[in-house]
Amino acid sequence: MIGFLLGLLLPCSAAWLLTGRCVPGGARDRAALGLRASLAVGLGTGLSAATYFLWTLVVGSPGVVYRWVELLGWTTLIVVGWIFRPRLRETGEPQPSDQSPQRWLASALGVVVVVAMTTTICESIVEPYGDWNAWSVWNARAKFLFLGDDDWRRAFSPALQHPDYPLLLSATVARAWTFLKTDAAWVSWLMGNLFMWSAIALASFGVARAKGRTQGILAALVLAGNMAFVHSGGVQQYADVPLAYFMLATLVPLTLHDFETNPRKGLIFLAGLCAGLAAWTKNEGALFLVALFAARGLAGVLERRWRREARELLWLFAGVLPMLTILVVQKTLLASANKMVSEQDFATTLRRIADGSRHLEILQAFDVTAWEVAHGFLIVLPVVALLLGRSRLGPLRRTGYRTAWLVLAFMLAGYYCIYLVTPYDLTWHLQTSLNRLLVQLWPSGVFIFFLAIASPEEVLTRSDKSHEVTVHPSRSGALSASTSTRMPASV
Amino acid sequence: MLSGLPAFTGWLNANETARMLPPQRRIRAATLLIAICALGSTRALPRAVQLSQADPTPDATAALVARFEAIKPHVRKQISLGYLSDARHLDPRRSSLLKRLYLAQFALAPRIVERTTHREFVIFDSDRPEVTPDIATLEGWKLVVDLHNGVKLFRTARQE
Repeated sequence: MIGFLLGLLLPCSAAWLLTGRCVPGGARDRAALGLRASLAVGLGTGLSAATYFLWTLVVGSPGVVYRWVELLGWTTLIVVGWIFRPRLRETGEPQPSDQSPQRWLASALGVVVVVAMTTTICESIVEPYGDWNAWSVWNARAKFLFLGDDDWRRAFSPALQHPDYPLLLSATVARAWTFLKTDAAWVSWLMGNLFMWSAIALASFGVARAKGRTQGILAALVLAGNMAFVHSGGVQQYADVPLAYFMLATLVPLTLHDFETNPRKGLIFLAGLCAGLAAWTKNEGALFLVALFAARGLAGVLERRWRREARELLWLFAGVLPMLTILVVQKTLLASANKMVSEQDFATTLRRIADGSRHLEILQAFDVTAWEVAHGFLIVLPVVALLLGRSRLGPLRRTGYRTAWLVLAFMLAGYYCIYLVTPYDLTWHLQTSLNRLLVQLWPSGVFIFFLAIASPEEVLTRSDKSHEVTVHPSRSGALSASTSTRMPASV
Repeated sequence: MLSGLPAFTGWLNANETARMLPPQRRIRAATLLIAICALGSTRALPRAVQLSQADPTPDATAALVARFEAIKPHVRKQISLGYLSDARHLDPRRSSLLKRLYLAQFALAPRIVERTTHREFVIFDSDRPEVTPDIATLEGWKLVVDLHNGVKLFRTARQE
C-alpha cells in the first residue's frame, strides 16, 4: 500500500513543482494553489502512465526494477524541482469585505459535494467494476498490461473491443495495480473519481483565478450538482471524464495566460502538455488537438496578432509533442485500424452526407441528449446569464476566451460530422455515445460560461461605476476595457 | 432565419429588463437559482442508498465476473478461449449475451475470449447448470470442469 501511495503521490508532487514554474501567484493565493494542485493530479497521473507505457514497450513487463527506478526518478525530479523552485511571495490579495454570500454558497457546495460522493460510493457498491466500456475496454486492457507479462501486446488484439483506443486510462490503472501488486477493482474507481473531482476543482479554481471566488464556487456547484457528469466520472469509470479533465486542463491555462498581466509562456506549454494527454486518452482527443490549433490560430487572426500568435502556437506545439509522439508510436506499432476510418468509402460517405434525414436525426439527438446531460442547468444558466449580464473583457483577455469557445464550437461541429459519416447504425451510435461526448465538453463549457458572464463582484463594481460614469460602454469594448476591473486573484 | 430575430430581440429586451433590478437582488437570484438546481442533485442519494442495500441480482456485473473467474486455474494465461452461450434468443446488440461475453473477457484477461467454437478450450455459458451444448456431444468435446453455476469449460479436438 505504501508503494501504491508513493506511486500516486510522487508524480503528482513533481507535477505540482512543474506547475509552480508556470502558474503565477503568491504563497497565500489560494486560487493559484488550488489551480496548481488540480492540474498536478492530472499531469502527474498522465505523465506517469506515459512512463509506464514506455517502460513496457522498451524494457518489457514492469516489475520490481520498474517500481524502484520510477520512484527514484520521480524523487530526483522532486528534489531538483524543489531546489530550483521559484520563490513565492508571502503576500496575498486582500479578502473581499463582505463574504456572507460566499459563506452560504460554500456551505451549499459542501452539501452537494458530500451528497455526490456518498451517491457515487453507494452506486459503486452495486457496480464495483463500473459500466459497460469500463470492463469491456479500459479495465480489460489494463489487465492485459498488468497480468500479460511478456504477452502484453495481446491488449491490442483485434479480437478485443476497440484495440485502437489510446492507452492513458488503461496504463494509469495498470500502473497503480503494479505498485499495489494486485488488480483490485477499487483502483479504477479511485482513478475515475480523482479525475472527476480534479476537473471540478480545476474549473472552480480556474474561474476563481480569473473572475473571483464567488464565481469559482458557482462553477463548482454547477459541476458537482450535475449527476450525469458525477455518475460518468464517479461510477461508470469511462475515459470520458479523464478526457473532459484534460480538455479543461488545456483551456484553463491557455485562457489564464491571456488573462494575466505578465503571462508566462509556461502556461501555454502546460496547455499543450494537457492537450497531448487528451489525445492519448481517447480518439476524440485527436479531434480536440485539431480544434485547439485551429481555434487558437483563428483567434489570433481575428485579433490580428500574427507574430505573437505564431510564437505561442510554437510553445503550444512544444507541449503537445511528447504525448503526440507516444500516441503515434502506439498507433503505428500496436493499434489496429479504426473502424470509423477503415469502413468508409467515398461514394457511401457522400450519400450519408447528402441524406437529410441523418442531419435531422442528429440534431434531434443533440437536443434530447443536451437535456439529459445538463438537466435543469440548461434553463438555469441562461437565466443566470440574463441576471448577471456579459462580462466585459479587454482585448487581450478576449483572445483566450475566444479560443476556448471556438474550441468548443469546433468540437461540437466535429462530433456532428462524425455522426454524419458513421458506418455504424446511426440511431444506435447516437443512443450509445452522444451523452458521453457531451459529458466530455461539459466542464469546459461551464468554465467558458462563467468566464463569459459577469461575476457578482463585477456586477457590483459596474453598478458603483454607473453612478460615477454616465457614458455607456461602447460596443467595441474600448471603454469597457478601460473601466473593467481585474478581480482579486486571491480567494 | 428571420424567425429567430424576435426571439433575439426579446432576449436583448429581457436582458435590459434584468438590468433594471438592483444588482444585489440580481446577484441573490442568480446564486440562489444555481444553488437550488445543484442541490436538486441530492434527490439521487436515497435511491443510491436503497440500491446499495438491496441483495445483488444474479445478473449483476460483480456476480458474473466472479462466475467466470473460477475458470482461471484451469487454463494458462497465454491462450485464446472460445465462448458459446445458449442465450441466442436475446437481442445480440446490447444484450446480456454480449455483456456476458465481455465480462468473461474481463474476468479472464489476459486470456482472450472470442465468440467462436474453433479453439482448443471453449467456455459454455448458460443460465441452466444442467444443460450441455449439442455440439459438445456431436464433436466429442471433453469436459474439463463444470462450475455448477451454468459455466462449463470444454476441451475440443483442436490443438493450439
